[in-house]
Amino acid sequence: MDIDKSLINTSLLPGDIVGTVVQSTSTENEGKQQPVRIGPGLTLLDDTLVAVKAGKLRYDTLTKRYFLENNQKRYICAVGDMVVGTIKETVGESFRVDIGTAHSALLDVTGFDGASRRNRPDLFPGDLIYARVTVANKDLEPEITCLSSQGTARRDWITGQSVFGPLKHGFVINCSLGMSRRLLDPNCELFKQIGDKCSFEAAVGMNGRVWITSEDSRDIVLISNALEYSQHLDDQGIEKMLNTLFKSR
Amino acid sequence: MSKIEFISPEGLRVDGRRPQEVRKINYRLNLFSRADGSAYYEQGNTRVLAAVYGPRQVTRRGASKHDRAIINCEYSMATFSTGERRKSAKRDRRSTEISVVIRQTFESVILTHLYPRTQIDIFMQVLQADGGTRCACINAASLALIDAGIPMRDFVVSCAAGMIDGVALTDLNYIEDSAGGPDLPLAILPKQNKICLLQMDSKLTIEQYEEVMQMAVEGCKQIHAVLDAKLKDVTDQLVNKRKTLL
Repeated sequence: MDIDKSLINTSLLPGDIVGTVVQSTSTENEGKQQPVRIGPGLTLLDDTLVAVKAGKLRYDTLTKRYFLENNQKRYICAVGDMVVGTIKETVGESFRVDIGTAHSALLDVTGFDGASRRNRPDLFPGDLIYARVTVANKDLEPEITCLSSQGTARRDWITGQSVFGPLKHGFVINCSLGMSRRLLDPNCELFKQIGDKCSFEAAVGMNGRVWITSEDSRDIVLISNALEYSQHLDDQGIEKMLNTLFKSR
Repeated sequence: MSKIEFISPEGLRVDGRRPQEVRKINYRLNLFSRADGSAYYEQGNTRVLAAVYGPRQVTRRGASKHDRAIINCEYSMATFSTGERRKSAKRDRRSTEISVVIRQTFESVILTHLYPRTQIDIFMQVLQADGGTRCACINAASLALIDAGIPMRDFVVSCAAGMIDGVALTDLNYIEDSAGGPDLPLAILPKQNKICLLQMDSKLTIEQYEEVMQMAVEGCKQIHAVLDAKLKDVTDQLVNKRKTLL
């Protein structure tokens, strides 16, 4: 596979050719050919690697994958993603949760740390939860769980200190997927800047939903507005906007 | 017959264009906050809006396909889009035919096998009709699909061509369209050089057909060049920020 490296970090449109499969005739090259790993946004069509979305071609050195970084509003499920979901109904021993995908996700009623048949959260339609995706297949209904993953600390759901689980009070805003990815970046300045103005708690879902809560409901409104406006502004604009918003506080 | 001089002795058309010239194009993405993707597209005086939703749950039970997404296309003309106010006939013959034709075009381009049992909706509305509305709608829908991040094999571009008084013309406007000559809307995949829509009204000889077909292909390539030039910047903006009109 011959990838055009000059295209990395440039904008591509659907149909742009990224690389072609090279049929190597000499036997000495066969050993040296490394398989090329591709991620979202790229597809192999008839021996050519083609971009199928509009986005920037990136190469991730950690996973050694080529992929297309794009921004869209519609969330497509992927295993391992953390999502903010809304309970729709209880179906047997599971909850049906709306996470923004075409089909609702299933959450087992005992899928919470320290939960058993007798001891489980009482969730009603409209309640919010923070969960992670365990099954994401295009042919199946997505499945999520609030059990802690490898990296997160395990706390029983009753304590309210667990990372995943029910989200009480607060407000959810919708944003684009690119925005939620940026918010999850450890280098994101926005949360730090807002944190300088007031204290709050937030849960960012990779499905384009951000849950915010604070002690004062006026603060919740201000922070939600700040996040909404920051989507259209650059860094200087964000600073100005935050100063104006929190001036009256 | 017609007293209108479609081609002047200097070779200019009624709006001052050359026979192979396409009208001025302008477009804007991401207009609607609710739609997953949307585009506003102008080609001369023809103005259209396209909105895309999906992949989302199938609305009509029994219509869902187990191995791919179904594409639902709706083309309609606003009552104020033509010279005389039209009675709001969303389901009239012409609109239904154009909806079907555009759906078939995009079914071959969108990678529907990635989203089984879902539905992708494409709504197109003509705000101002001055000839070439179905081609403008296809271009607008292509832009809206790109805005929505729905994977496609290639970017569909569409242009119509015709022949009046023996001269092949690209991108007919309403006056030229009404002249009664042949009209050939064409949609291609510019990078793969494949045709995904070809229609024709009226009659042409084989030689004339070759000429008009070539004009339509050249027109599509011109449109593609115009759209491509600005889209890379728009993609940059999409990735960095999402600017909305509202």
